[in-house]
Amino acid sequence: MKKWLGSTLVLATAASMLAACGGNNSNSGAASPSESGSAAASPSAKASAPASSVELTLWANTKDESEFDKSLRNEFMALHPNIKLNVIDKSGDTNTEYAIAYAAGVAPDVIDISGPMFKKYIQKGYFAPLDDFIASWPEKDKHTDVFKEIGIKDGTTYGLVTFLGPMMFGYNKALFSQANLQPPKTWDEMIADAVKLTDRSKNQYGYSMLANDWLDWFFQFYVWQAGGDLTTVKDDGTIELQFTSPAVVKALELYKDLKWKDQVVQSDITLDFNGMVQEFATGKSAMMIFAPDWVPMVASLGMKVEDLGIIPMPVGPSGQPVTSTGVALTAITGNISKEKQQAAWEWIAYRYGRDAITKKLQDQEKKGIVPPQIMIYKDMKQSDIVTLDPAWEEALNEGVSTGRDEYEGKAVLTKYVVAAVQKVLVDKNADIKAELQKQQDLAQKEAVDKYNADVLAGK
Amino acid sequence: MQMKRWIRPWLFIAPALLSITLLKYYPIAQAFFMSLHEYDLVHPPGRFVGFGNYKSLLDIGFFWTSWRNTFVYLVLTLVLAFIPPIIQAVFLNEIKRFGRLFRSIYILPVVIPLSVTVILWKWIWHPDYGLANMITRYVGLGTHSWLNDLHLAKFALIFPGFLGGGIAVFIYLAAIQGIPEEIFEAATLDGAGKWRQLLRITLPNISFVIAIQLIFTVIGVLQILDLPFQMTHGGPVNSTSSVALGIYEYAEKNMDYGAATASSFMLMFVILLITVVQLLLSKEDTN
Repeated sequence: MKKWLGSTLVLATAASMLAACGGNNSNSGAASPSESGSAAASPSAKASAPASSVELTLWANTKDESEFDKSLRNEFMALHPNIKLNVIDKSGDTNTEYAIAYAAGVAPDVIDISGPMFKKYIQKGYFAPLDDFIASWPEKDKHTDVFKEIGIKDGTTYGLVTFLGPMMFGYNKALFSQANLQPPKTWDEMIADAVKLTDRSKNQYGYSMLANDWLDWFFQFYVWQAGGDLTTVKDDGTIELQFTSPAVVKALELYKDLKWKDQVVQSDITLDFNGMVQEFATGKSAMMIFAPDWVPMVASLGMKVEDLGIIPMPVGPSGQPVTSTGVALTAITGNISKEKQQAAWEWIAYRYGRDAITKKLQDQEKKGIVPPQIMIYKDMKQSDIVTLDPAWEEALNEGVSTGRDEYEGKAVLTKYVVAAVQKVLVDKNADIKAELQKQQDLAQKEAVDKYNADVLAGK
Repeated sequence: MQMKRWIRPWLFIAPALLSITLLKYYPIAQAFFMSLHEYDLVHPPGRFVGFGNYKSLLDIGFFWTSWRNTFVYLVLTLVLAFIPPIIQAVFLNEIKRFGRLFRSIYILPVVIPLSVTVILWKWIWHPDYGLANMITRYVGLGTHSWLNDLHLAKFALIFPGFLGGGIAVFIYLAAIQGIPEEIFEAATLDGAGKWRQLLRITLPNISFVIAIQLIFTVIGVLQILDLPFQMTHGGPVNSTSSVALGIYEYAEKNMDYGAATASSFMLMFVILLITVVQLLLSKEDTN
């Protein structure tokens, strides 16, 4: 009996082990498109539509997507009777799930991928070339050039930019108005406002600082505004760490001051992104870095849209306004038939056609929540279609002109930046330079050498 | 025609055997195969690197931090959370009036989803308005950052187990109630008090269950993932990361399936080793 039990336990142990080994939303992304005007959206649609019946598999977060998104698919199918859209409900991080689905042979035929993830995937060869489709696309000359290079590898285009959103700065107008304050334009003003808006007795604080997952993505803005970067890229594409450069030190000093000297941030640094947005939306926090497509999120959490102020990022010691632009690209999975690829392109051109974009904006305006966004067509302007808060539009325009891509090497460096910043946030006596140096040394040894070797090997 | 006698049991276990082989052992074998490659999802299996993934992991500081944390979790669990359910089961067995009510109270937390428990405990540990700081301030121990403290975060994650309750209490209770009443009666007649009965009758008679629970606890804690993932995301400064959380990150964040599977196998090997040692000790003890 014991022997049997022993064997069973050992086997059970082994069998249970691999459980631990186990994205933006594919078809509910920020910019959604067209409808009955498909002829306008995709003039070539009918001419080049697949001859036989084709079924396309799409991923969509059907719980959260709007009725407009749902109706768009039905309208597309009505106009393209030989193309059936088979929607699989998918919530969560579809960006990372896509790779696993691809390996398992169950990837969607069309996918929206965030810019950073697209850079990884394009190297892996997941996507079909789009050049032939784009060549005959009437919108090709009017489509945005911003970040189009992310979708190109060795001269071939694999992804179409379908969403652009610069990072901006959000503040709670109601709290600012009550305190008779003006929104900040510089770091110093931001700190001063945050101090005045922090009232622990009311469980209210001035500034939400993301100190958990994605920490480095938020931290990079302050490094840039301080006039530097976390890495520099050499001519051969390899990277050099700049963790101990004056700009990074300055940015971390700001974080340290906000946390320990001015005490204007949340006291629980384990607060994750969702928690942070929730605290901002419910008025516990007065300011945070803000992306335009988060407007519906804060509205759904109870914030009145009229209380949401969106402005450009406060300028740092460099005096230069700088931010990053969130980007998403749409691609066609590469291992599907040519006929399916053609159908997939029809869907992309329809969904991201200007007619669909126009109607989506109008639908959002009807619902009272219009997130500011950069149009993906050069000759399109959001405020020509819907009424937009002028301050939001101004912030958006500045974001467009000052936006840049995330720091190079982020994919392998996140945990080192996070460790240095978190150490300063949990230990007020931490030596900023020493912590940054420690993590730089670790990152160089554990990640950068391999990263650079891969770059040089063309991987 | 009568079925041959020896075939019958095989037929009964065949479906389960087949399922386990296909759904458990085949993936394990496949995972080991992956761990020997720089795994490429598009052109599997990618470059063969032998035990290169294993060796690379050993050179990463985060990997060792995760292992250190995992063993601290194990020690904390054994010290803080393993004994209370046994004590609670002993007392529950003694309660005659309202016994059912108390059993219900103890089983109730089991039906609360972990996510809810996490939200509750994040509130309890909150540095500003958490219940934990209210209590420590009241008893003169001052306030603490708990989950934000490099030295207290792991304790804060494991401490909820100290309150006991849960399914373990019922496993022990069932074992205690399975001890024939006559033994206790005879011991009472011989003059043995409650304390002596506990040490000489109750605990020896449920030692087998305790040993099994110990094995499952060790296996469970070494695979800890959900608590640090939901409570702290492994922070601050990796102070709550675990081996399993690392595996998740290698696979999901870095998409380095070779490293993820190699780390899984290292974890499996350690768990197997500890389990075998536990079983041998348990066997020796029984003999």
